This record gives sequence, structure tokens and C-alpha cells, in this order.
Amino acid sequence: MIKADNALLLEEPLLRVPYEMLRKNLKTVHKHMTQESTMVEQTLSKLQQSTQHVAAEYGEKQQEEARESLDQLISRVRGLKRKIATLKDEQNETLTTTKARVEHLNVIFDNEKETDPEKQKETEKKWLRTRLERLLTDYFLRQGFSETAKSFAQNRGITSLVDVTILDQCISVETSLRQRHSTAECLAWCSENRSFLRKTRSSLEFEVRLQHYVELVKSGRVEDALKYCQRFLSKNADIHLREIQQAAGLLAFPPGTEGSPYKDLYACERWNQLSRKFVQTFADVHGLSDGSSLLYTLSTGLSVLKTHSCRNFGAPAELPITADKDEDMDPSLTSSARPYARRSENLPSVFGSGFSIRMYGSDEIRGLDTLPVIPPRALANLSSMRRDIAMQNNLDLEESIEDDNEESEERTSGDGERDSDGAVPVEELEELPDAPPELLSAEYLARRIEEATKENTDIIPKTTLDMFNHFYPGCCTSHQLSRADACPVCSVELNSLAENLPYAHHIRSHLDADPVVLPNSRIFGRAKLMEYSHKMMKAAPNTVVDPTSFECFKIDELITAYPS
Amino acid sequence: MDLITKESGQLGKNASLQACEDSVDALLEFLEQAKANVTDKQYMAQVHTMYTSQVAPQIIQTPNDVHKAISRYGKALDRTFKLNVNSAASSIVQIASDNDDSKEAVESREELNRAVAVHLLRLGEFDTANIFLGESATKLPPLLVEQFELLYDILRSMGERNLQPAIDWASTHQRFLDCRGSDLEFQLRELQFKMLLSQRDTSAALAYARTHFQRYQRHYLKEISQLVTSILYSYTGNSPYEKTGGEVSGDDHAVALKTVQQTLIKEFCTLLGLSSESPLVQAVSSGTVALPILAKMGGIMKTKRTEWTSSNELPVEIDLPPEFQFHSVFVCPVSKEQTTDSNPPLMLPCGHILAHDTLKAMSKDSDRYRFKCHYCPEETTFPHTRRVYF
Repeated sequence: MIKADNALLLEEPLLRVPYEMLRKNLKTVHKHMTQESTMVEQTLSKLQQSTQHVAAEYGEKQQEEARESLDQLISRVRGLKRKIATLKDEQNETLTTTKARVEHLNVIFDNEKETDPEKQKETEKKWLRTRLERLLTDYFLRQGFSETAKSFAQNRGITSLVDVTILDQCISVETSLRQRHSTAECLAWCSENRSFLRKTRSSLEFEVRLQHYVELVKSGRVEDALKYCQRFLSKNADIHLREIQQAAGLLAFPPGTEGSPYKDLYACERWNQLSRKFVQTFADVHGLSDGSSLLYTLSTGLSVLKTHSCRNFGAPAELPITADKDEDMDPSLTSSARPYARRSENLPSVFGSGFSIRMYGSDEIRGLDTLPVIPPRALANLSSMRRDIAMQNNLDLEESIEDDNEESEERTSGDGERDSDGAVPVEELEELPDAPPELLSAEYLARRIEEATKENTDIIPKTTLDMFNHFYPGCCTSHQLSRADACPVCSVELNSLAENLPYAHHIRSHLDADPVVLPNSRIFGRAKLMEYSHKMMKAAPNTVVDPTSFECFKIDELITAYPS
Repeated sequence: MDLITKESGQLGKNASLQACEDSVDALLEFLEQAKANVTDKQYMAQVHTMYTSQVAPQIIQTPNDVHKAISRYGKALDRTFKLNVNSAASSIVQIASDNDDSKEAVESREELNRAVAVHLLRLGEFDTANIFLGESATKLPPLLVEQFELLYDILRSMGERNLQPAIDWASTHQRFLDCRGSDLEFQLRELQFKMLLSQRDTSAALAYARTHFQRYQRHYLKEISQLVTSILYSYTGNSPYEKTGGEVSGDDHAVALKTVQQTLIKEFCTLLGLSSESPLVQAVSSGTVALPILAKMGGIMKTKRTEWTSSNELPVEIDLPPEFQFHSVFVCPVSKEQTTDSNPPLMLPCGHILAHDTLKAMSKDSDRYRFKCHYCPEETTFPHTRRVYF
């Protein structure tokens, strides 16, 4: 699915960072070597000159001098050798890293030539997983979770694919700016990279100095501030004259002023701007990407996967679901404020149904009585099924049936939208075709649903529901018919992140093959539906089950649809 | 990429600083020698000449060679990477933040951290997850962590060919599995049986079958009979049940084991209310596919000076493979728009389906106007259409 050429486009930082390191390293080496070699050259030429003339005296004293200057040279060159040796090790390390990264990228290129599609898919999957791990490590580092990053990179064996040290350095300076409001680290970095900053005409250093000046003024040390300004700021007058004038003007305004440019200068927000600017400049120097790629890739990915059928439970966070229970008991409130009340406008979505809610709701949520879970018709079906079973077995289930009916009536009336939109009120339901006559299967299904609804929460752990303080019905829609469960946008973890992203663009329909319409207006792929029904109702070959509502229909009730 | 591969190969050969170190060594040697000959006036008289002719060229040349190799590699990089990929992504993020006035960015970071933490648990990286939770001050319910630890314990025992913990788990959650119509429990028992059988422990296998298979009689009668009958062939080589796997030697259970493990992970995650595959993997994978395409698109749009016209929708269709299609998407064949809640799909009596707005237009907004289906000759009116749900 992934084109290697396309994937490569995303990987510039992966190769760029070690490249910049190589370059920087070499520059240092070059600098040292030129320095020392000129030194050597000068000294030697002096020595040669002093001895060149035949007449020149070359006695003990001169020899001693020559020896001394040679000794000096030797010790200097030894120092050079030491420096170069460390740099060489660094360089070799970077070269290994480069090699590992190029190999890592070549995996997908080689994979395109793979003839076995199964294998190809496997390799691709693995590569993408590794990529995610890289992005995660990058994310950890950028968030300042360096211990996590180190442990993660080590455990997953991707240390050569992530730039732990560099990012660590970046973040430590960034936090010193943002949190400790200290300029020293950043200025040290600036002087290290002065040549680059000058080449790109970066104003970073000036901005940092200016901030330092502002802080001096803020703390009332006007004289120091003036000295500082003279020493560091005024020499930038050719480019930053305006800022310098403003800085001078600042002296006339006390901190807490409302005058607009000065208020901004005093603002703490400037530290955040500075730290952002620093990260950007740092990224430029080292060839890093300037934002977290994880964030970018994740947003894009979610956007691409987002469809109009995806759940959106971002809203319930604001709803009083975990708030006061008593308030929530108000049926009008709960039914309309419930997350899938929105969904219930178009009732039979693949999600907003099924008994899963009851099963996975923790006690808290049960306490809120958050259901009309099973659509009225299914309930009606269910009760009639039970009645049949009861008659068959001479069991007295009347009570429970009545309970059920009452319950369902309550539910339906509590949920007005549902009624108005296609779902048939319970009273009418009784006249509709009843459950399939095959008692065994009906009993089987009934038992399943009953068990499900009765299922206690004790053995089920408190779920992620607590974790996200949201209410997620149908997290686990109990059928494998649709892949909607596996949708990342609908997942508990990522749903709220996807909330504001744009939808994917589709110009073709993606539907199951051979779609059929059930009497309740839901459409499923015939083959899949049959397979599911077969699994659920083994003994009743002529019955189909709606996997979302558990309604049963006869097979000849299906209508073939022609969507396109 | 070929270019990069080639140049990086060259880089490995040429960019090492070994040469530099060597030339410095040579310099050092030269100086030592000079020192040894310091009493020799003749020698000292030409020491500089000797230096410039013998040592200096090397000192100057070696870093240049390295530089050449590195800059060739740099050029290869420049030639490959011309697009600024992140610009496309940032416009998406931009839309998101435009849509989002009330929430702070910090909040979504919390959500992301939680998602990441769950992902770490899914990977079984408990140590890292712990460090992460500490460093990011993210909170997860401890029960969730415990559950994942339990899952990994079970999986580990399975890897050591000990199915008992898995079976225990499955029987604890029997009702849940039943409701889902899951095969897990039977799969486990089946595997256990096969493992016993392949240890040539026929009586144990038979005993196991007797104790445990009864429960599954209703649904798995056929499988059970095959399994039990395969005992008959356990000593001969040519079992007709080869295909059912009842007759494979010890290590071949690895495949079956893996399948069962997958099922277990799936059921386990479902019980927790999570999907079986990490959504982070899926989302980031599809993002990896989509980002370059969007970036290219952005490049084209920039040169043509157009902008995204469809607000709240991506500008191009990104073709993802079927395993990344999670919902049915219906695009009206006439208007080419996706159906939504406000523009739902409607079915004509002939079974063809169109979007609500399209039908409104075709029926001239009148209930009595008869119009022809866009595909077949059948005519109908608007009230005869029927809302359907994909």
C-alpha cells in the first residue's frame, strides 16, 4: 500500500541529521588541523631561517631553543591527535548511524520488488511499526520525557534510528528558556553555532539578548540594563534599530504598563515565543523537522480515516455523565444528552446498539441507567420469543415479560427522537411479524441476550470508560460483521483527537459486496450477513439476524439493493 | 534512493577521519624526527622545506577529501528531498485548531499521552510505560495496567506451551465469549488436545477429550469427532485428518498457537473496551501513506494558486487498502457526494440508492412529480423512497 518513493519523502530528517553532524564534525576537524598546521609551519620556517645561513651560529643555546619550540609543537600536535581521535570516533558512529538508516529505508525499496504479496505485506507492516516507534521516541524527546525515550528506544532496538542526544540537547535548552527563564544555555548554544546563525541571518541571539535586557529592566536594575544594552544590543543597530529604540523606550514604562509595544515586551509569553524560535533554529541547524512528526502523521492519518459514520464522543465530556448522578436520572436529560442521542437521530448505525453498553458499563454508568440499548423492535421480538419459550416449557415468565415491555416503553418514550425517526413504537410492534418459529434458535438467541443484559460487572474490569471519563457504547459491538470496531477514529484512545479534523474525501463508495436491505432498513453485505447469522443461529438456516439490533428476520424478507 | 544508497556507500569508505588521523600521525612523526636531529644544523636548515614538501600537502588534502565525500552525499540528499512535507500536515492541524475554539491544545496533548500510554501497554512495554506515566503525569486506571500485565503473562505461558492460564481466563469469561460467539475457548481446548496427542500421550488426550469436549458438543460436534478420531491415526504417518491439524508434530503447533494468541488478544482487548489492534499503529500507518500525497497536492495547488475549497474535507481521495476501510462509505452516484446525516441515502423501490438532496432535485421538490430512476427505467415519486442505513 505504501509507495517507497513517497515514504522516502517523509524521511528527510532521518538522513539529514547525521549528515549535518558529519559536516559539523569535519568542520571542527578542519579548523583544528589548519590551526595547528599553520602553527607548525610558522615555527618550522622560523627555525629554518635561523639556521639557513652558513654563517649563522648554531650552538648549545640555539639548539636548546629549537628543541624547546619543537617540544612545544609536539605537545600541541599530540593534543590535536587526541582531539581528532575523539572526533574520529564520533564520526565513525555517525557513519554507522547513516548506514543503519539507509538500510532501514532500503527495506521498503527492496520490499517493492518482493514477489510474495503475503511476505510483502508483513515486511511493510513491520516497517511501519518501526516507523511509529521512531516517531514515538521523537515525540517523547520533544515532550521532554527523555527517560521514557531512552528506555523505549533501547527496548525496541531503534537507537540508531533516533537522534536521542541531539533532541535531548535541544529540549534542555528549550526548557531552560521556557520554564526557568534563563538565557545562559541558549546564548552558549548561539556562540557555538554563530557561523550558522550569521549565515542565515537569524535574529535568535539578538532576541535572547533583548529578553535578558527586558528582564533586567523588569527587576529594576536599570544601570545594568543600560550597560548590557550598550554592550550587546547596540551593535545590532543596522538590522534591529527599531527594536533597540523600543528597548530604550521601555525604560520609560514600568512593568505592568498598558502601552502596547511595551506591554508585549514585558509579557511572559515572550519566553514561549523565544523557546519556539530556538527550537526552530535548532531544527534548521541539525536538519530536524521542526514539529513533532508523530502529531502531524497522526492527524493526517486520522483525517484520512475519518468518515461521516465515525463516532464522535468528544461532546459527552462536557455532559454530566460522570457528574451528579441524581441530576442524570432525569430521563429527558439523559436521553437527549446521551452521547448516542445524536446517533439515535439515525438510529441504526452500527454502533449505537447492542447489549454491549450494559456489559461494559461500569457500575457508575449502570447507575445512570443509560439505556435504550436494545431497539424497541428487538425487545418486542425478544419478549415474544420468551413467551413462546415459556409456553413451550410451561414456565411462568409472564412477569418478566411484562417488566420488559414496561421497560421498553419507558425507554422509547424517554427517547423521543428515536421514535420520530423511523423506529416503530412498541405498541405497533406486536403486530409485526414475530420471531422465527424455530424455537431452539430463538431460545438460543434469547438466552444470549438475556445473559448479556444480566451480565454482571463484577467479573469485568472497570474499563477504559473511567480512563477517559467518556461513555463509549458499542466499543465492543458484539459482532465481527463490520470492521467498525477496529476503526482508529472510533477507538477509545483516539476518538477525541480526531474530533476536529477534516473528513476524508471519497469519490467512490466502499460497500460490502452484494448488499441486501433488512426490513429495518439496514444494509449489509449478503455473504457476511449470512455467515454471521449462521454462526449465531446454527439451527435456523432460514433466519437472518441483524448484528446490531439482534432482530430476527426470515431470509425472504431481504431485498437486494443496488447502491451503484 | 538509489543515489543515496550509492553515495552513502561511498561515504562509508571515504568520510572516515582515519586519513586525517594518519596525516596528523605523520606530522607527529616528522616533528619527533626533527627533535631527534635538532643538533644537526644541516637538517634544521631545511626543516621547513621538508615539511612543506612531505607533510603539509597531506595535512591540507585529507580533510578536503572527506569534505568531498560528504558534500556529494549532501547533494544526493538535496536532490531527493525537495518537498516540504510537513506543510501539508500543518494545514490539517490548522483546520483542526480552527474548528476548535473551546479546547486548549494542552488538553489534546493529554489525550494523546493517554493514547500513547495505552499503546505502550499494548506493546507490553511495562517498564517504559511506567516511566512514561511518571514523566508525562498521565493517569491510567491501574486496573488497565494490571489487565495488560495479565494478558502478557498469559501469552508468555502460552509461548512456553502452557495453555492453562489462557484456559482459566477463557472459562472465567465464558459468558462473555459465548455472547460474542467467540471460538476462543474451544480453540484453546483443541490446541491442548492436539498437544497432548502429539506427545504420544494417547490416553491423556482421550481423558482430556472426555472431560472437556462435552460442553462444546452443540456447536463443534464435527470438529470434535474429527479430533477424537484422529487418535486412531496418531501412530501411522498418513492420517486423513492431516488437514485439521490433529496430526502434526510438536513444533508445528507454533502456527496454531499464534492464531489462538491472536484470538485471545482480540477477545481480551474487546473485554476491556479496546480494539484489538492498536489504533495508533493504524492511524500513523495511514498517515504515512497520505502525507506525501497531500504534500504533493499542496505543491501543485501552490503553483496553480488554488486553495482547499472543500472546507472540513481533505482535497483528494487517499486510496487505502481494504484493511484500512472500517466503515461503509456511500457516495451518491449522481451528485458524487458522501451521504451524511443531513443528506442521507434513500432507496428507490427498484433498489437503487441515491442521496436525499439528489432525489429532492430529481423530484423537483414535489411529492407528486414522477421521475425516472437514474439506472433503470422504473419511475417513482419521492414519498416512495425509503431511508436506508449502511
